[in-house]
Amino acid sequence: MNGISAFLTVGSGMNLLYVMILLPFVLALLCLAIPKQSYAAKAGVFVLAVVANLIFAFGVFRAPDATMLIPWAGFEINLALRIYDFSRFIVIAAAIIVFLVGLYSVSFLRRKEYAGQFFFYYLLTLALANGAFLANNFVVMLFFWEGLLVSLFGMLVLVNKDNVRTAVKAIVLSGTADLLLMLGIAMTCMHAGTMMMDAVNDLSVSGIGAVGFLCMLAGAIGKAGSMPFHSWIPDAANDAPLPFMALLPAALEKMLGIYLLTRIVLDFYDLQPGSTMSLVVMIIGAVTLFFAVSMALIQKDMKRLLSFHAISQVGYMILGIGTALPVGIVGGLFHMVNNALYKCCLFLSAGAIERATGTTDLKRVGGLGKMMPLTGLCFIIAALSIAGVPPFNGFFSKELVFDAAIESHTVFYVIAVVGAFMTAASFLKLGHAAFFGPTKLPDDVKKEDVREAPAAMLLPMVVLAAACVVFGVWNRLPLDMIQPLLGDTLAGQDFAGWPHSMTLVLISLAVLLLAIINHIIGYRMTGEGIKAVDHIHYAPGLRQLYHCAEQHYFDPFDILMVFVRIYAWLCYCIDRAINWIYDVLLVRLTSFFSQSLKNFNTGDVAGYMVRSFIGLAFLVLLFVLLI
Amino acid sequence: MSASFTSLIYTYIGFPLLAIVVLNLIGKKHMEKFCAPIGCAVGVVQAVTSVITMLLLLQYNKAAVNFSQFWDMSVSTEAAYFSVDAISAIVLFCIGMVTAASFLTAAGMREEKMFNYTNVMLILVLGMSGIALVTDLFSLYVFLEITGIASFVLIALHRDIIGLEGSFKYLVMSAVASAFILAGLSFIYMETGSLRYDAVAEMLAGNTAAEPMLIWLAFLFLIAGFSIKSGIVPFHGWLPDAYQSAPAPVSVVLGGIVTKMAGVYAIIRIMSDFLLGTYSVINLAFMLLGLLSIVMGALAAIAQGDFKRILAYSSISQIGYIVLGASTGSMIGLIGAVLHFFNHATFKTTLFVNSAAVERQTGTTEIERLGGLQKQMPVTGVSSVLAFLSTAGIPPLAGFWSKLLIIIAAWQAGGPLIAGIALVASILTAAYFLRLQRKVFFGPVEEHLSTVKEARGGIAVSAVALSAVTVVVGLLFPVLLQILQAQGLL
Amino acid sequence: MNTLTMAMLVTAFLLIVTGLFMLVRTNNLIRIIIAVEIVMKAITLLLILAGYINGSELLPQAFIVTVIVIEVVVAVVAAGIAIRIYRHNGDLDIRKLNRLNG
Repeated sequence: MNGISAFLTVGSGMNLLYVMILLPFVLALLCLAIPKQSYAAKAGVFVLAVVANLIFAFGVFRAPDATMLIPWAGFEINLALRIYDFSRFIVIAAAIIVFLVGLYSVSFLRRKEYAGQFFFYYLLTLALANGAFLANNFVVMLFFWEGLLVSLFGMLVLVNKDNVRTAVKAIVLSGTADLLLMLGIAMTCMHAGTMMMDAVNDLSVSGIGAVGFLCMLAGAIGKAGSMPFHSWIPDAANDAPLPFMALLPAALEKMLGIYLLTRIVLDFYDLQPGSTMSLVVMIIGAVTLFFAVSMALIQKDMKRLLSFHAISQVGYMILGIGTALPVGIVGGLFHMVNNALYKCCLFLSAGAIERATGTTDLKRVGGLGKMMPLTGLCFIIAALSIAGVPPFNGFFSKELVFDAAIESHTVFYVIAVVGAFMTAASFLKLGHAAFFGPTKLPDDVKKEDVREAPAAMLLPMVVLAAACVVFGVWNRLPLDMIQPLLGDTLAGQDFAGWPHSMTLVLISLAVLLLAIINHIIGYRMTGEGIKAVDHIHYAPGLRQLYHCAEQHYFDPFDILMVFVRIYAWLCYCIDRAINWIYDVLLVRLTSFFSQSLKNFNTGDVAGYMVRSFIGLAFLVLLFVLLI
Repeated sequence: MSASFTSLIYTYIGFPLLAIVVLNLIGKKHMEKFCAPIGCAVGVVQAVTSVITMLLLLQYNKAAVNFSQFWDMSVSTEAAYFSVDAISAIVLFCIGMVTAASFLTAAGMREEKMFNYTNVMLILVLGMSGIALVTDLFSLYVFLEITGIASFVLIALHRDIIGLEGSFKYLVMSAVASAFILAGLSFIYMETGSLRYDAVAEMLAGNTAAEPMLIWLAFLFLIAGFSIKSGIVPFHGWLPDAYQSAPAPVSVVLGGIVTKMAGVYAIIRIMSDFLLGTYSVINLAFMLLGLLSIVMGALAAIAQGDFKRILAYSSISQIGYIVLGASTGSMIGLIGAVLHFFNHATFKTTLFVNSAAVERQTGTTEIERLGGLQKQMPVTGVSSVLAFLSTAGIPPLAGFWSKLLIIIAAWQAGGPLIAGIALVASILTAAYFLRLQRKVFFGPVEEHLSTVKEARGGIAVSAVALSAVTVVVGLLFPVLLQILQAQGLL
Repeated sequence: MNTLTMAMLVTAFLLIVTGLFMLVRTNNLIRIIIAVEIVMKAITLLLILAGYINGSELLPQAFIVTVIVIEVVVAVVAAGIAIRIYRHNGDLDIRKLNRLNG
C-alpha cells in the first residue's frame, strides 16, 4: 500500500499517464485470453481493472499539472499527454462511472457467453477514452477517438452477429462525424500553426476558422450523439447488451463529446455570446432537445425510451455550452455530469428489469414496484432528477441552462421549457407503467421468479441515485470542480446554491405541475399508465408526423442511403470502363515485356558475358560523354 | 575501451575460425549432429556481438573504431587495420541473422552433407565479416574472393548437374568481376601510394591526382566489377541461375546476404567513404544502373515459373533500390540504402526460407504445380505475406520506411522522374508477388498436395523470427532513426 | 608517361581483350578457365606497372603473390566443377549447360 500511495502523491504525473492508458488495454487483452469457462477469473481481472483505474484516476486527480511528450514522427506529431484541471476532472468522473457500471455488468453478464469479449471491449473503450481525455496533441487524440469506433462496433455485434446492420449504421454515422472532426482538426492546426492542444488558444471564428470550428463541432456532437448523428442509438438499445448502453451512449460518449465541445468553445476558438456561430450551436442543441424528447414521449419500450432521452439531454448540454455565457457553460458541464449519473442509473434499473423478466417492452411488462422496491426507488430518484425536480441535481443544472437560454434568445428558452414538459411527462408515464399499477408479466415468467436485483447490480444504482441527491442538495461540491475550469471567463460569478432567478424556478415548477396534470388526464382517459401520453401521440397533426418518424422517414441515415445507392450505380458504370484498361490492356502489355525478357535470358554464359560487355560499353560511353 | 573492441574483432573473425577448427579436429562422425547448432550459434553470436558493438559505438559516441591485431596502430599508419562503424555493425548483424536462419533451414531440410556445409558456411561467414571490417581496398579484394570461393563450393554442394551449372556460371562471371576490381585497384594504386580507404578518400577530395583520367578509368572498372558481383542489370545474368540451382539452405544465405555483401556493400562504402557530398558521373552511372535493375528485375519476375527464380529477380530489383539510394550521394539516400540492405536481408531470407519449406514439404518449386498451400502451411503463408508487404513497401512494415527514404533521396538528387519510376516499380513488385502468392498459397488445394503439412522445426522458427524482426523494425523505425541521427553516426 | 609504361599498359590491355574474347567465344569449359587465367595475368601486369609508377615495388609484389594464390584456388574449384560436369554430361561443352534459362 505504501508504494501505491507514494506513487499517487509523489510529484510527476508522468507514470500515471502511461498507466491510465496502458493498464486497461493490457487487462483487456488478458480478459480476452482467459478461457470461457472461468467466468470468475474474467470477472476478477475485469473488476481489478476498473478498480485500479479508479485508484489511478484518483491519483491523476491529486497530481499536479503535468505534461508528457515523446517525439515520434516529425512535423510535431508527438505522443503528448497532459494533466490539467479539465482532464483531471473528467478522468475521475469517467472512472467513477466506469467503475459503477463495471460492477453492475459483472453481475448482469454472469450467464452470458459473450462476457469475455464484452469485458475486453469495455476495457479497450476505457483505455481509449482515457487516452482521448489525456491527449495533448491533436493527432494523438484523433487516434484514440477513432479507436473508439472499433470497440463500438465490437460491442454492437456482440450479442448477435446479425446485428451488423446497426453496427454498420453506428460506424457510418460516427465515422462521418470523425471524418469531419479530422477535417476540422486539420484546419485548426493549419490556422494555429501547431498540433499541440495546449498551444491553440482563442482562434477567431471567421473565414477558415469558421469552417474549422464547424467541422470540429460536428465531430464533437457526433460523438456525443446529438442530431443528426443520433439514429443508431435507439437501434442499438435493442441490439446491444445493456451495460454497453449504460456506459457508452449514456455516459462516456457524452463526456467525450461535451469535453471536446467545451474545449472547442472555451480554449480553441473564441466564441462570443450572441455571435452567429453561437447561434448555430444553440440551434443544434435546441433541435436535438426538442425532437428527441418528442420521439421519446411515444416510445413503448423502456430502453428505446431511455436512449431517446439520452439524445435529448445532450441537446441541453449543447444548448448551454453554445450560449458561450459562463452560466451556460457551467450549466452544460454540470448537466453532463448529472446526466451521466441519472441516465446511468435509469439504464441500470432498466437492466435490472430485463434481468428479472427478460424484456423491457412496456407492452408486456409492468407494475413491478412491489417486487423490486429498491430498483423502483432508484428509478424514481433518477427520474425526478432528469425531470428537473428540486432538490435533485437535474433541477440545478437545468436552471443554469434555462438562465443562459433566456439571456440569449427567448425562443430557445421556450423550446427548452417545452422539452422539460415532455421529459417530465414521459417519465411519469414510464415510472407509472414500469413500477406502479397492475403487475403485467410476459407469459413465460412467473410472479415468484421476479426478485429484486442482486447486490452487485443494486449497489451501483443506489450509489448513483444517492449521488443525484447529493449533487443536488449540496451542489457546491461539483460546481467547485467545474467552475474553475472556465478560468477567466467566469469573471467571478458563482452559481452554487439556489438558482438566482426565482421567476425561472417558478416557471419550471409550473411546467412540472402541468406535466403531472397531463399525466393524470391521460391516465383517466385510457386507464393505463403506459397510454398516458397517447392523447399527444394520436393528436391530429402530430399523429402523421410521429408515424413518419417511426417509419424512419426522418432518419438522416436512411435518406443518405438512397443517395448512396444512386451514386454507387454511377460509379459502377465508370468502373467497368476503367476495368477494361487495367485488366485487359495493361496486363497484355506487361506480360509481353516480361515474356520477352524471359526469352532473352538464355542459359549460356557467353550470352551473359556479352550483355555485361554491352553494359560496360554503355558505362564507358557515359563516362566519356560526361567528363 | 579498445580492449573491448579488440575482443569484438576476435568474435567476428575468431569465433567462426574456432568453430571450424573444433569441427575438424573432432571429426565428422562425432560432430555430425552438432553441426547445425554450432552454425546457428555462430550466427546468433555474430548478431548479438554486432548489436553490442552498435550500442558501444553509441555509448562512446564514436563514428568508427579502428583496431589492428598484429601491430600497434600508433607505430605505423601505413599498415592495414580493421574498423567498425555504424554501417559495418548493421551489416554484421545481417550476416549473423541470415547465417542463423540458413543453418536452421539446413537442419529443417535434413541436409545430408551437413558437415561439409557447415565448414564451408563458416568460411563464408568469415569472408563476409571480413568484408565488413576492412579498411583498404586490397584486403577487401581478398575477403571478397574468400566469400566467392566459399559460395561457389556451396552452390555445387549436392553435385547435381543443375547446381554445378549454376555454380560454374557464377564462378566465371565472378572471376571476371574480380579481375575488373583488381584492375580498378591497380589504377588507383598508380595514383596514390596506398589503397586504404582514408588515403583514397583524401586523394579524391583534394584532387591531388596527377592523372585524373586514370582515376576515372579505375572507377569505371570498379563500377563494372562490383556491378557484376551484385547482380545489377545488365550484369546480372548469373544471378537467377545461381539462386535457383543452389540447395535450399544455400539459397537462403546467398539471397539473404552474400550477393549484397560481395557487391552492394562495396558500392555503399565507395559512395559513403569516398564520394559523400560530391556529385559526378559516378552518381549518375549508379543511378541509371539502379533504376534499370529495379524495372528490369521486376518486369522479368512477372513471367517466371519457378519460386526461387522469382525471388532471384526480385533480389535484382531490390538491389537496384539499394544502389539507387546509395547513388544519390546524400545522407538520406545512404541511410535509406543501408536500411533497405537490412530489410532486404530480412524479407528475402524469410522468402527463401519459405521456399525451402515449400520445397521440403511438396518436393517442388514450380509454381504451376503448387496451389492452395495457405491452409496446410499457415506459418509459411503468413510470413510470406508479411515479407511481400515489406518488399512492396506497405506501412507500417520496415520496407516502407526504407523505400520512402530512397525515393525521397532520389527525388532530391535526380528529380521527380526518377523517383516516379522507382515508385511505379513498386506496383510491379506487388504484381509479381501477388502472382506468386496466388499461385502458391491461395486458391483451392491441389489434389496431390492435400497431405502436405506445415514445415516443422528450424524452418518455421526462422520464418517466424524474421517476420517478427520486419514488423518490429517497421514500428520502431522513427525512434531508431532519431537515435542514430542524434549521435551523428549515420 | 614514358614508353615503358605505355608498352605495359598496351600489353595488359591486349591480354585483357584476348582473354575476354576467348571467354565469350569458346565452347570448352577448360578453355574458359584458361581465359580467366589470362585476364588475371594481365591484371598482375597492371599491378606491377602500378608499383613501377609509384616507385615502391614491395607492396605490389605482396599483392601479386596474394592474387596468384587466390587465383589458383579459384581455378582449382573451377576445374573441380568442370570435372563433375564432364562426368554428368559426357563432354565439356558449355552449350550443353543451358538447363537453367528464362
